[in-house]
Amino acid sequence: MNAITQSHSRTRGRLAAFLARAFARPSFVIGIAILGLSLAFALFPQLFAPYDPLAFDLQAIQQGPSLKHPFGTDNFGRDVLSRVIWAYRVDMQMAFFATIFALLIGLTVGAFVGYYGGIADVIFGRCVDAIITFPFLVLVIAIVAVLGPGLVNMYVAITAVNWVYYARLTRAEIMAQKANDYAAAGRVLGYSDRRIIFRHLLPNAISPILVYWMTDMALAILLGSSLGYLGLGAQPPAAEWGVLIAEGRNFLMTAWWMSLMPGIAIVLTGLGFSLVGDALADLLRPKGR
Amino acid sequence: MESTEKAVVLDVRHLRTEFGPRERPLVAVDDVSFQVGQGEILGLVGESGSGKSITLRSILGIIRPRGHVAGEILWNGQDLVLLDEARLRRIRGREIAMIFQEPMSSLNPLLTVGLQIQENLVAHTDLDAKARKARAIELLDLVGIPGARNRLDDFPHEFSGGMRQRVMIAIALASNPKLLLADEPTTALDVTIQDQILRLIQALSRDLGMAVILVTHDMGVVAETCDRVAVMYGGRLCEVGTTTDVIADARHPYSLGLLRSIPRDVAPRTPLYSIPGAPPALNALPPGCAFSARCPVAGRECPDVRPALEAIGSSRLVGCHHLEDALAHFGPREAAQ
Amino acid sequence: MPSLSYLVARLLQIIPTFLLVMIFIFLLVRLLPGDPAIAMAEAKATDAQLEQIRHNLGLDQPLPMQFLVFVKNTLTGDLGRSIMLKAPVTEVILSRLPTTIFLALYSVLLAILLAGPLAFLAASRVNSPVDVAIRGVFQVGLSMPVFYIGLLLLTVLAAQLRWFPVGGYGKSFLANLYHLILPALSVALYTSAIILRNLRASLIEVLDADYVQFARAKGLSPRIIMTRHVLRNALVSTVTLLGLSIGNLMSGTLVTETVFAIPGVGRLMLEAIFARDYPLIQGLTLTFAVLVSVVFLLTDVVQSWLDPRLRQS
Repeated sequence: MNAITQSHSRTRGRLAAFLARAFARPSFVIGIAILGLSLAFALFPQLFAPYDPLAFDLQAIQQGPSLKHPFGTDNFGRDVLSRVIWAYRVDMQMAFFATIFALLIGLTVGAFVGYYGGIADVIFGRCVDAIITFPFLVLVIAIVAVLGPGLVNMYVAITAVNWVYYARLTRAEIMAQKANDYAAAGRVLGYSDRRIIFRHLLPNAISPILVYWMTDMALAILLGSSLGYLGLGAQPPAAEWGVLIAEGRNFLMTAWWMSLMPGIAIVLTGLGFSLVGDALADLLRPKGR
Repeated sequence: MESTEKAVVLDVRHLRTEFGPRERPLVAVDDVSFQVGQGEILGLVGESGSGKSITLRSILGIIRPRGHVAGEILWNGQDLVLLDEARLRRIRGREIAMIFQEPMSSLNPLLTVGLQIQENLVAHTDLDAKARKARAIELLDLVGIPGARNRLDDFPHEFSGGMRQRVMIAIALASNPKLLLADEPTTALDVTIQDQILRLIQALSRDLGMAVILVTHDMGVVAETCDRVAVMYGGRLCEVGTTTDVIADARHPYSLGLLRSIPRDVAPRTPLYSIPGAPPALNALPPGCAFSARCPVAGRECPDVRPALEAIGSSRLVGCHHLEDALAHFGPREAAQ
Repeated sequence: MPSLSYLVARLLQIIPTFLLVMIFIFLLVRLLPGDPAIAMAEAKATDAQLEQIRHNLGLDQPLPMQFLVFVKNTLTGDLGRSIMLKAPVTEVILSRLPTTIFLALYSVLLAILLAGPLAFLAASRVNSPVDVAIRGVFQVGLSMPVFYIGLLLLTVLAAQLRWFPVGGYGKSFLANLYHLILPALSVALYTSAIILRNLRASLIEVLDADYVQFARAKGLSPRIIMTRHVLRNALVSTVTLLGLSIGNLMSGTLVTETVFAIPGVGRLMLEAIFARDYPLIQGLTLTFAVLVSVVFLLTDVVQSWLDPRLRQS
C-alpha cells in the first residue's frame, strides 16, 4: 500500500521543485516565452496584427520590407506580417490536433499491449513494422489522396500513422513500470487491471511520452506546413505558413519576402517546442551517469 | 625509505594532480612520493576516490578529463612529467604498461583479440606480420589461455571475464614492459578467478623481472601479492612500508581501520568493523590531515596541521600526530597476529 | 561477415511485414468512397470501359480473391496501368527511380560530410563555445522544413548569387552532381542535424570509454586510436540512425523534388495524387515501402558486419 500512495503524494511537491529547476534553464525559459507568444498570436491575432490580413491594398503591391510593412506586402498588397500572425491560429491548431488524438490512441493501445503482452503484442509489433516501412510523409499523403485535401483530412491521415509512434513508446514505458514493486503490490491488493494501468502505471510512465509529444508538435508544424505547401493541407485562402510560402513561390525573384518571411514563424515556433522538449527530456532523464 | 636490495626503476616525487580551474583546483593527488624497485610489487591501497587510480594514470599521462600534473616522475633518469605526448607515447605500452579494472569494457568489442595484441607489437616493435602472430600466440599462452593458437580471431565477447583479464595482461606484456600498472585488476572478477589472476601477475613479475604497481581497495589482495604497500587517503599517503610490517604492525589509524575491517579469527555472526563515515569529497578536504574527520583518535590540531611522513624503523613511513593513541585505540589485536 | 543463416532469417522476417504492407495498400484504394473503377478510369470512360476496369481489377470477385490477384500481379511485377501517363506503372516508376535514388544518396553523402567533422569538433570540446554554437545552428536546422530550406537556397544561391542552377536534371553524372546540389543540400541540412546530434553524443561516450583509455595506455598513435577505436565504435549507432532515417530521407526527397522540379518518384507521387491516378499511387507507395525495407535490411547487414556481437542471434 505504501508504495502505491507514495507514488501519488510525492508528485505535487516534486512538480514545484521540478518547475523551479526547469525555469533555471535559459533554454527552457526562451522556449516557453516563444510558445507563450505563439499562443497569444493564435488566440488574439487581432491584437497583434497591424493590418487586416485580407485587405487588398492595390497601391502597395509587392513592397519590400519597410517600417510600415516589416515583412513586406504580397501580390495583392496584403500585409505579410499580419497574414503570418493570423496564420498562427491555423498552425498552432495543427500542432495540437495533428498530435493529440495520436497521443490518446497511442497511450491507450500502448498501455494495454504493454500490460497484457501475448498475442496482441505480437500483432501490434507486426503492425508497427509495417507502418514504419512507409516513409511518414508518403503514407500521410497517400491517405490524404484517398480522403481528399484539407485540414481535417490531414489530421485524420497524420493520426492514422502517428499513433504508432506513441503506442510504441508507451508500450516500452509500461513494460518497464510493470516490473516495479508497486505494480505487483496493486495486483496483490486485488485492484482491477484497468485501475492498475490508468491510475498507477501510466502516471509513472507518462513523462517521456509527454516530452515526445512536445517535440512531436514541432514535427507536426513542419509536416503540416509541408502539406500546406504541397497543396494537400490547409487550403487557400486560409492563412497558413506553408500556404503563404507556396503563394510566394512564383515571386521568388521579384518578391522573396512573400515566401521567406513566413518561414521565420515556422522556425521560431518549431524551436520553441523543441527547446522546451529538450529541456524537459534533460530534466526528466534518470540520473545514472 | 629505500628499497634497499633492488635497483629503483620508478621514483615518484611530490606528485600533485589537479583538475578544474587553476584558481580553485580540485586536488586529486597531493604530494605523493614513492619508489618501485625492479621486480617489486607495490600495493597502492585506499577507498574509491582516494586518488590511487589517478596516481597511476598520472604516471602515464593519460588522466581524463585533462588535468594538471606537477612534481617529478623519474623513469630511467627521465622526468615523465616534462615529456611531450610523442615521447611519452614511446614509453607507454613499451616500457610501462597498464591494465584496467573492467575486463568487460576495456577491450574494444569490435576488434579481434589477435588484432588488439598485434597493434601493440606494431607500435612498439619491428616484428613482421608473421612474427607478430607468433608472438601474439606466445603471449596468450603465457597468460594461460587454453588453445591460444585458435583464439586470435575471436572477439572479446567470446571470452569469460577472467579470460578477458588474461587477454588484457597479454596485451600489456606484448613489448616486455619493465613496469606494469594494474588498476584494480581483480575487482570485477569472482573470488576464485581473482586468485588466479593475482598469482599470474606475481609469477610474471618474478619470471620477467617486471615491477608492478597494484592498485586495490582490498587489504587481502595486498597481503597475498605485494612486497610493499602504500596506503592512500584523500589523495595523500598515510603509511608506506613492507607488506609484512604494515599488515602485522600497522601504525596509521586509517591502515588500522582498514585491517580491522577484514574479518580474521572472529566468532561467527560478529558484526564486521567498518570505518565510520564516508570518504571525503575532493573539494572538502581539510588543510590538515585528510583522515581527521573520520579518525577515532584525532586531536584538535589534526584538521589544521598536516602531519609529515616520518620514518619508523628502517623501512616504514607514517604520517600521523597521534601514533600512540592509535595503537592504544585499536588495541594489540593486530600486533598479535 | 554476417553468416548466410543470419541473412536468410532476416529476409524471412520481412515476409509477414510485407504481407501487412500489401494489405494496407490494397485496402487504401478499396476504401475510396464510391466505385474504385470510376476513380481509376478516365473521366470520359464508357460503361463498357468501366466494366473492363472492374474485371481487370477483379472487382467482380470477393475481396480475399481480389487480394490474392493483387499479390500475384505485384509479385510478377504487374502494378497496373497509369491513368495519367497511359503506360504500365512499373515502367513509369522504374524510369523515374534512378533520379530519386541518386538524389537520396547524394543527400546522405552531403549530410555525412557536413555533420561528421562538426560532430567531432563539438564532441572533442564539450560545452565550449564552439560546441554550443554548432549545436545551436543545427537546432535551428531541425526546426526548418525541407521545402523552406530549399526555397532559401534557391533564392539566395540560385536566384540572387546565380551560383547554381534553379532546377532541372543533368545528362551526365557530373552534370547531375552540379544540377542536384541545391536539392540534395536541402535534404542534407535537415538530415545532418539529426546525424550531428546522435554522432556527437556517441563520440562523447566512446571518447570516454575504457577501451579508448586502454588504447591510449598502450601507446598507440592518436591516428590509430581515432580511426580504429573511436570512429569505428561511434559509427555503429550512427549507421543505425542513418538506416532508421531512411523514411525521413524519402519524405525529404519527395518535397525537394517538388520544390526543384526534379523528375523523380517523389514528384511523380504528388502528380499522381493531383491526377487521382490510383494505380500509380498504389505502385509508388509500394515502391517507397520496398526502398525502406531494402535500406533497413542493408543497415542490419552493415551493423552486424561492424559489430561482431550482433552476428550470433
